[in-house]
Amino acid sequence: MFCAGQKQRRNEVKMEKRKRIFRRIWKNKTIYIVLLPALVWYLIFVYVPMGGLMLAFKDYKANLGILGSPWTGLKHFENLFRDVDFWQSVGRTLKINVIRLFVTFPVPVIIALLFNELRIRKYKKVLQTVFTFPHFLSWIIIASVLRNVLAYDGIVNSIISLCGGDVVNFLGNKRMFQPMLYLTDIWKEAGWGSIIYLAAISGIDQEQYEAADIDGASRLQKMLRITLPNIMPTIAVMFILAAGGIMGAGFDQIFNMTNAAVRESGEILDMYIYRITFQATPDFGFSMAVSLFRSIVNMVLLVIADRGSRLFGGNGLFG
Amino acid sequence: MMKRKWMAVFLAVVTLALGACGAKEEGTEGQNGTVNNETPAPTGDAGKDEGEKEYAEHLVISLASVQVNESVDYNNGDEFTKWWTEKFNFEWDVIGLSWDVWAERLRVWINSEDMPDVATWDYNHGEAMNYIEQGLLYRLPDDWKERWPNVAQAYEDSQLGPALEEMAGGTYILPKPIFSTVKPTEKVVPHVTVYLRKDWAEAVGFELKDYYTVTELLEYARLIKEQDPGNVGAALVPIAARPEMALNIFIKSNATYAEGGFYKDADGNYQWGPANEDTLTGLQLYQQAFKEGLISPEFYAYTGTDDNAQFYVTGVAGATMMQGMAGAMTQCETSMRDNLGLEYDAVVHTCFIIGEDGKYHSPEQINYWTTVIFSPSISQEKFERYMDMMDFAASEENNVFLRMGFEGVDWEYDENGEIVSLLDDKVASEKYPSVYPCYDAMYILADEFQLINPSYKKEFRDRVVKLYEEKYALGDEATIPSIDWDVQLYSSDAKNKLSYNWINEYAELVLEEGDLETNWRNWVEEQQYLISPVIDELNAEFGGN
Amino acid sequence: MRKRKKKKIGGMDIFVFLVLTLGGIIILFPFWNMLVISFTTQKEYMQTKLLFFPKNPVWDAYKALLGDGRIWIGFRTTFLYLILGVPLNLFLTTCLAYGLSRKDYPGRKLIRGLILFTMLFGGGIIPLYLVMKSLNLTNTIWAVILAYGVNTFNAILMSNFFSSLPESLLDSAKLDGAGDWKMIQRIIMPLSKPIFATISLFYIVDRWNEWYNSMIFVRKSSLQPLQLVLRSIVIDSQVKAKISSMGVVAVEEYAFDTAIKMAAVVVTIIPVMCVFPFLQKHFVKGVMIGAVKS
Repeated sequence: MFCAGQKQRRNEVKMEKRKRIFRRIWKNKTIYIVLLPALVWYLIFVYVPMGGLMLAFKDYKANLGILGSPWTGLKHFENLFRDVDFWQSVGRTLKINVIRLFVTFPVPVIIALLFNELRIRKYKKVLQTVFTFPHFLSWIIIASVLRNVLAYDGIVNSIISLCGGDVVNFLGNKRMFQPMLYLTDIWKEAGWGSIIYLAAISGIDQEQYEAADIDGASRLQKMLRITLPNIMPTIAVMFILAAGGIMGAGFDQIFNMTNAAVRESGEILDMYIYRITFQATPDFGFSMAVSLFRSIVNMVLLVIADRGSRLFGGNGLFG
Repeated sequence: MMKRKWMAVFLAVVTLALGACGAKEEGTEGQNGTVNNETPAPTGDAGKDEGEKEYAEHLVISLASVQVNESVDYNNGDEFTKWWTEKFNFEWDVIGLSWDVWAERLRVWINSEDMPDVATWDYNHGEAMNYIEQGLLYRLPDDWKERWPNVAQAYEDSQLGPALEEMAGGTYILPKPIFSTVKPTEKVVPHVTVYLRKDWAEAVGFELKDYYTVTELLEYARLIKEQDPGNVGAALVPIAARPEMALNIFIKSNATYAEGGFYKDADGNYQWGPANEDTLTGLQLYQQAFKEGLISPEFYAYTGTDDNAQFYVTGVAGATMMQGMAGAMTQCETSMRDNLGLEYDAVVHTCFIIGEDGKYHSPEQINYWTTVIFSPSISQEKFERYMDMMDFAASEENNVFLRMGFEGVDWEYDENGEIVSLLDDKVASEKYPSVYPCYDAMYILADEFQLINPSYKKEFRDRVVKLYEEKYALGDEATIPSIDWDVQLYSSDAKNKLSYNWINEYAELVLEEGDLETNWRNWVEEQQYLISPVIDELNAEFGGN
Repeated sequence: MRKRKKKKIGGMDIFVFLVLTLGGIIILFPFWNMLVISFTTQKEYMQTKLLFFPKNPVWDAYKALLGDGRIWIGFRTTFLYLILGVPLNLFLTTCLAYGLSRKDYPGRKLIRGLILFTMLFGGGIIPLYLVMKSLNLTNTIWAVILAYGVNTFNAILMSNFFSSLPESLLDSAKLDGAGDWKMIQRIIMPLSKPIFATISLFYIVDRWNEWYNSMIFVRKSSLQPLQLVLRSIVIDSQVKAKISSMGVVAVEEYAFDTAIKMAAVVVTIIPVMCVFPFLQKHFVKGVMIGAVKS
């Protein structure tokens, strides 16, 4: 009796819970309806193909399909981890892209803040457009322009020798290569990156500035005390996302800017992947193992960045 | 109001754009219908004596290939392709594969069991064995050689085809032979050639020969650098060579197996070419040229064919290395005339580079370039139709038709029985853009025809043949070794994993600071963990004499 | 108000002006260089390293490029991607972003986790190809349009924007009895213009630069997008040079391609340069309002 009663009560609680959840679902039905198209898209075009991740542990046989291909366990990973070049490229990727993150990340923020202070309206519009242009150029083009500008007889060296300096070997110098990567990256992407911050700035509540005006704050003060803190959440999100992409950044750039003299200082993980897939007999399982590894490292980095930003009072990736 | 107006404009634009796509396709179909009713295009000898076969069923054949120009209409664009599509009652669905993504696109399609009917594939042995094993390639019927004898004959010339067939127990892959009816030498060697400034060499008193050792070439470069006979000044580059060509000039001329070749030594043990002392010799010469400024100080930053252009566009180079076929010589001639006002005959001397031992070095080249593969799900009719076309294209009497167009219209025989082109200053592929790649590279490649094509100057063609013959005469079995099919067709995890970019590896060694020999030895040592398993496998499998 | 705006020019103004102008010049120089190269002959290009102005400009590169015909195919296809693809992108992204920005509904965490997962992990191209094949979408532009539906990154930005909208507004709307639909229509949409402008721009650019999916999914040469055409013009010559150096097979000759390359780039970025300022207006407007107000 007692037992049955308890059971009954438990069942009732369960039912009650279920009902409540159901009621909550029903109450929020619009949200699900709104979400549905996006979720269907994710299911079909992202989650179904996600099955390909299994290939990292399989030998892909097209005639057997992804599911039917034989399992190989950790063979691909064993081969991968044994490769000295692989570890070197991982180290180099981390080094280049961590430095890149710290060198290049603040630039768009600064540009956005500066633009916000530029008061000649027409000029500002023109300049903003100009700053975003390089984003549309591919690295192949940029690399060929750079070769013109930085060669022994290019403009930069002409100026240097005019001023009495020694000609600098920009293109074939291992030590110059990585700084060149950061600089060209800033040149190409900083203006574009500032768009998102400008949009964020435009959303700032104007009352705050008016209040500051009354207090007699200087423009620099307003910039640092109002504008910057207001776009902080955007900055945090962008930083987290950038940190999460560390392992995958920079392939196109390095691929086009590298040459035999500097190749070694630019062999990042993606260059390694390119090399093993295009110069040897391709192996889908092996390639998948490498990208799975890369994804996992990215995930770890993303989580660290996310935690870090929470630690410093940010909102994290999803508020 | 405003919104509705925009919407209307938007919709109109969408309809137009979509309509344009649809319309175009309908258009092509409509035109196809009319083609069949047209009077036959002018035919030369080509079609006449062929035992005419009737093709009742109209087929659409999809062909994926490089060299496609997406703006060419391969079905109705010109008389040449009209003749073909009519004769064989089919139409093309030509899929252009850009060079840089060629392998990747085909790989995805083949591995998804969704490849086009026919494809031009850059054969890779490990991949090929994989595909054959999985049934991803069409297996030709066992009697195909009797049914398409012309293809079968050219197939024998490709060397690779029969070797693969023996291994796979059937024919899956048809490698395209470079030379078939005409062959300059018994074993195929590379045609890359050094172009020297004849006038400069004469001015500095450098003897003109058909071949030089690297040391001799460097001597020439030094003389040019000191005396600057062309008064070029600071821009002068004695030898313009991008890393690929520097590898050819300095290293491969000395080291037969420099590009990662495995070969058997006297004791029957396998060795790895880059670890051989003659590779070091080549590297040392390469570095010497770099350090003395005899090649460009920024040779690693060349893109495309910048180095060659320094020879025939700006005229600042004393020598350069490029393709050694009549077509390339013609291009050089035209460019020098247009850009520099120089006559090729007066200023250019062609030659090749031999090793310090006085021998010409190069492993025998397999006589093929890319392969024809068929989809495993291709219909019998399509396969047979395509084979008929290939057989037609591979026959000796149709060779001229394929390369030069219609007899009587585009070319004719003169009283001596020599072919004379009737297209002034044009090659057939300019008049008939559809020739590339559908017909010209259908099976036998056009290279051999460059040796006899009257569109090119006879002096050029003779020169090419002469250089070929001399190269071959200057080598022996040790320096122009025959193909080792054991190694060539060996496939294992260890071997498939090897991936070197030799151009970069050697350029890096040359540019590296410190002693070259030490660096090279260290580098060889570093590679052992990859190389020695392969050598062990090869020794176990095929070692001994 | 107006008086205040016409404040005197301070040190800040001069500094900002100089820094941004210098930046503008550094950015424009390579563009100018490119434009100039597209009008030069190979000889002049190779002889003069620094071209400020071509001595005798030639139109050859543009003639070759526009006469080629491929570039028009490219423009038409890319245009289709834009008008069909971007609305789809915006629709799906808004749906997702709205869902992610709302709090307190069952399953939110799960959805969030699953979406975030896709930013990091993917199954590669073959499984996606098999999906497209089974839906009979290969060789149509729909494969390309559907393969890129939501960029998770953009969805996150948008959802962050939504959740940064003042809660009080939403709450008061709720008190007025407005359901989700009304809230989206009346409050969120009008307030979100800057983020819509920004995200549209991002999608337009992505669609404009799209080539990989087209390369794999679409074979018809009449459906090649602009970037693929551009690639085959720009990269082909480089690869050809590499193949010709192997010296076994003769590759067809190559013309002076640097000028054509540059001309191709000029032709393909001009439309972007024309459209861009109009979109930019929207999010700059917000900044302007701010300037006027202060």
